[in-house]
Amino acid sequence: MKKKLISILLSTVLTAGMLTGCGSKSSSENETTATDTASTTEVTENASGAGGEYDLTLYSINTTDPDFDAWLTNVEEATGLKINAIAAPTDSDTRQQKITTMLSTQDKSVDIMEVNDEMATAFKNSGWLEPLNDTVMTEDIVNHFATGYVSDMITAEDGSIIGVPGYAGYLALWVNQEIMDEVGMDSIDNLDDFKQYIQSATKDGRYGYGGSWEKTYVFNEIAEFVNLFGGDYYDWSNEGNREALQFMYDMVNTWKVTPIDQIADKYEQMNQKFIDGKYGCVFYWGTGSEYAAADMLGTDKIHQIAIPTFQKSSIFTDSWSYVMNSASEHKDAAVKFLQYMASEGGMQASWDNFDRYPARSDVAEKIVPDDSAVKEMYTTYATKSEVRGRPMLPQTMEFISDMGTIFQDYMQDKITLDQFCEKAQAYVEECQ
Amino acid sequence: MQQLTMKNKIYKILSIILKWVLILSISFLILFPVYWIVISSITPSGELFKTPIDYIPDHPTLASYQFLIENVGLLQKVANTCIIVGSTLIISTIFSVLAAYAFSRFKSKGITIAFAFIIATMLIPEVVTARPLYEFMQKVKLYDTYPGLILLYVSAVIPFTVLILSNFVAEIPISLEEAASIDGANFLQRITLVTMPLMKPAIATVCIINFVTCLNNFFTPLFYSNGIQVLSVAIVQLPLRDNMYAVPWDLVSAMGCIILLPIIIFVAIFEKQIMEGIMAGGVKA
Repeated sequence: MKKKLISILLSTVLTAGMLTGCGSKSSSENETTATDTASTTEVTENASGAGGEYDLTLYSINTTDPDFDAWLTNVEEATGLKINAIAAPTDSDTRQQKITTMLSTQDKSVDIMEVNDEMATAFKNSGWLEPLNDTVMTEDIVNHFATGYVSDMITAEDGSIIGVPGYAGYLALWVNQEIMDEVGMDSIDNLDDFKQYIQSATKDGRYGYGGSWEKTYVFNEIAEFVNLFGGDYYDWSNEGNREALQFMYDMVNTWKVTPIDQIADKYEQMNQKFIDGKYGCVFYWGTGSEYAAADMLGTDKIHQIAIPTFQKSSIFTDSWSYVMNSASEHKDAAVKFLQYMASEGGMQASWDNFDRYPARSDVAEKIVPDDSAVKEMYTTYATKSEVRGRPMLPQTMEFISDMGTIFQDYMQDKITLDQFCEKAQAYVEECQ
Repeated sequence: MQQLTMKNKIYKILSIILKWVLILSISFLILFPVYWIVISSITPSGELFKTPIDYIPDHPTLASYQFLIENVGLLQKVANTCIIVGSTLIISTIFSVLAAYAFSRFKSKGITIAFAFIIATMLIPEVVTARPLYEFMQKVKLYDTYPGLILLYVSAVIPFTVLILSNFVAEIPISLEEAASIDGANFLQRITLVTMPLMKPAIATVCIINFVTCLNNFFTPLFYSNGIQVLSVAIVQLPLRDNMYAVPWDLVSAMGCIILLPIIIFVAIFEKQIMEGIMAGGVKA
């Protein structure tokens, strides 16, 4: 009996002990819990909750950027808002998992989030994000953003615009000018020039074209070639798609101007090889800071060129957009923040602190210096090429990964072009 | 006779060679990734993916570490980690010791079921409970709080701790407590003065193992917290480069080294106790 009593007592103590954590919540509700010593972004447990000391909470991937503090100060001063910035994971899978959970559970602790194209596509029709048509992305503002990007990436099926693009990036064609000079070419204007360049640049262990063909990365290049050949990424019966895939196959297997072992490469490996002079050209995002860090950026070294015309000249643009959580309890503050981010001041702050090229063409024209090589090229893209958002489906990551897998199979002769197209079409329908 | 001795000698030499080949191969397999992380952490980003591979960097630098100290708020993350891990160790040890004693000394159907239930929770993958637990933590206002995180950490280590300790208590002869009882010791005195001192090595072991487990815990702080950041999560919060597509592997490696360091030091110091405790608990790690 005594033993039984003791065992019951001990079990009760154990259970009670486990529950004591709950008891401490009220006292901790308003206390400051963590302060990032390296930034001004003091974090409190209920920063965005009712009665918190912040006006809104921003879930950002930039908090560890050395210039984040300066950016935040600028935004706070301009908007009069006190912003609680929380570090979002920069690892894509982790971030998507976390943000999906936050949005789907109507988590109110975050008001504004930064989402990439993949997440924007996955969430735009979910109802988890607040439409911004009437408050931020009004007609007079939205007209200054790349139309193709806005419609492809951040507009829901019902016409709601759910984000404010934070910058404009392009999947540009980068060439090594030393190799261009060596093969005696001044420009790459069309398909014939491109073929000539990649073939003549290939020699002595060097390849004319380099790619990042890891299965989740190659999607960008497949889609780029499909666009250049006038295809439609969602329709694999389109002749342009087949031509594009056949072209990529020939680059590897017929002309041998690009290595098959790049199916393991992501951008880091591709760029290292490009910097080391092992590739003649690559498609890559950004303004070339990696090349600049290696002292290889410049018109006589590595630089971007206008997109050549195959069937047409087409270029992808990308961005990270600021979106508002529809469960937010601080929508007025969030709108104020987003209005600033869509304005000249907000874009200037991003340009000054993060080197983010303004997503609004009128702002870019105004604030980016005329002697900037990036400005010259970006203006060329905007005026000479068809600017598109990348083709993505609601089940974004599955679609990207599946397409990458069958692409690698095709490049390695494991499946035929017909089989590739058949499977690709099936994935398009499956991931809708 | 001489031939036999010669044969024995050859066998002996061969077995030594084999032993060393095995030791070196396994050590290489385990240590090479660690070496690679260390080397990557001191290699400039522009040289990380050079081919042919540089096993010793041409231009070693501590810039990555400097960046982490200046921009990632390492000190606050270390403090948060200490608060959470320290509290977890204290709370989980107290309750686990009491539970282990009860589970191994008292027998009844209910106790057996309770024990099986606790142990069974070790088999449930974290992701299965993640979504409902996330909503629960929000509802009870424990999301992104120290008590909430500590509670989750404690609940994660308790099953393993109870298992190890109850096995250990079962090995302590009950006759010792009976002798103390004859000498006039009451129940509490038997626990605190007889059994607990004998449990010290096992308690030390589970504390060490739990320390390492908590330090490595990535999922719980990532999922159930926003503002309270710990070391293990910092590895996925480093700034991306070049329009968000390039992973800063030099910084990731440096952060990896920083996370690895206390674990390596801890295990190096307490390696004997860890092994002894695991053997005593009769559980393979």
